Amino acid sequence: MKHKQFEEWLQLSLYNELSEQEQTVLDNHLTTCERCRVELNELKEMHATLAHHRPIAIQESLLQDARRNLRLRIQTDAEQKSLWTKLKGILDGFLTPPLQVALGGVATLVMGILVGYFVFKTPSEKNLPLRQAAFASSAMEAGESQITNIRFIDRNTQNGDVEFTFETITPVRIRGNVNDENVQKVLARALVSDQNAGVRLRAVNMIGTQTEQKQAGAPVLDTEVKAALITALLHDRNLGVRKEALNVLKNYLPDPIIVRAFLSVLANETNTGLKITVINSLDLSKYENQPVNREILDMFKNKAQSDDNNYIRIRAKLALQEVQQ
Amino acid sequence: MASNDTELIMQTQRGNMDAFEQLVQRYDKRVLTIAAGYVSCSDDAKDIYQEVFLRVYKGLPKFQYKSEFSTWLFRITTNVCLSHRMRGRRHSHTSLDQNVNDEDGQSHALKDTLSDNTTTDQQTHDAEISIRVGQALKTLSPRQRMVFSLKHYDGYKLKEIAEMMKCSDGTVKKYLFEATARLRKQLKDFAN
Repeated sequence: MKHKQFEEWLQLSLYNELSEQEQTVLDNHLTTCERCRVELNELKEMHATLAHHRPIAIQESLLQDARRNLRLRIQTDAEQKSLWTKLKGILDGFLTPPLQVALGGVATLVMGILVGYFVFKTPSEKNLPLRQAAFASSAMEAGESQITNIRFIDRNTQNGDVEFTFETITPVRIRGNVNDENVQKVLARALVSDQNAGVRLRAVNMIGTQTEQKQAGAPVLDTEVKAALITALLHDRNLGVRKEALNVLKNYLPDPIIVRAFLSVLANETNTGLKITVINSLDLSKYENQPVNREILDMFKNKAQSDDNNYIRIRAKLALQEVQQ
Repeated sequence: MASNDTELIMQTQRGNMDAFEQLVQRYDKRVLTIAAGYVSCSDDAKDIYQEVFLRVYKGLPKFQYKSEFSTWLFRITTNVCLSHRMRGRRHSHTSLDQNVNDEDGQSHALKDTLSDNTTTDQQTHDAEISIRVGQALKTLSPRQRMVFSLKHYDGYKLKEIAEMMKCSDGTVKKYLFEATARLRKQLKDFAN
């Protein structure tokens, strides 16, 4: 038997991976081989050194947090998927398979012509045609999902009219109402994809204009816009953007998806101000008969006991006392 | 009454989310433990956890019982770990929030050990070793680190690891030996 084989067995022996017979052979070898005894001691020393470092302990709060994030993600995905499914169902109803193939061919041809046109011709920004908001949506649905170079031109806080430019395949200039679903979608895309924090902040501000008009009968928050706001709230690197997203979203409570996003903020956010805003906006009495009630109560109990911030601990405790009375 | 995996999978395939949650909760602590052992960072571990169970959720409708659910799940877990890109920007330096372990195996944030006036030389030395071990682990290739973490910290048998990683026992041993050799070299200074 080669010596290298014994050296490997020494390691396996420390992990109890040798059969009884192999272990006996190794033990016998160790009685006669000084080199292997030294090797075994060195391996034991290394194991002792490694014992100083252990992976992070899986605490219950970490597990609960991971579960909550997963639930939130699945719910958000499911809502977006159901919209797409509906649209696809409608299209499938209209289009028979031969017609789908024919339309696919035409669409490919048109795309080819458009790509060729836009590659060789860059329009001057000054002469951009003014588009209606519906154009933005059609541009995105033509396959361009990345909104870039968004520039804000005008905003009327009185009636909610906004005007801005952005680039998909070609620069586009839009004028429409902030309550228009298409305008909202462009803003939502900008909110999650633009590199410039100032642009993201203005995008979330404009989405917020819709919220201000909500009392006047404006439409409910679109699923895609909601997902973008939640993404910004949980993941945007800029505190201002997260804060604005929170301010917009709190107007749509008690939507359970938004509630779960808020609980994620309580669990993960490092900024105390945001956490205080969340804790102040979750009125526990409103959720008593809702499925999220248990999650909210657990989070408040956790915060009441262990949050670093004294105000949050007290506020969580008081909220729990109120709901128990 | 607790259902078995097959029942829960079938119910999930019929759209029952409660069944999916039960299925997740049956295994998710082990998934999170594997992820945490591999990445040593709770945020990265949570990212892996979410990606694993999203893949499971999307894959369950087509699950055909060709293997045990747990085998499939842990195979996904190791694949996600191996393809995971660390959130490097938050860990390009040693964080004071990084956990270190005392001699009883209790975990403490490094800052807690350093800010305490009663900090002893031994605690500082232990913290330093912990950081060096963490750094040494990061120099291993993803597969070496995966095998080492599953074996050394999670205690899985070589055969189980081979099944998780869809490779032979011999390949697993090879990664383990390579990992051990590299760690020994890097941690030579700390051996007593």
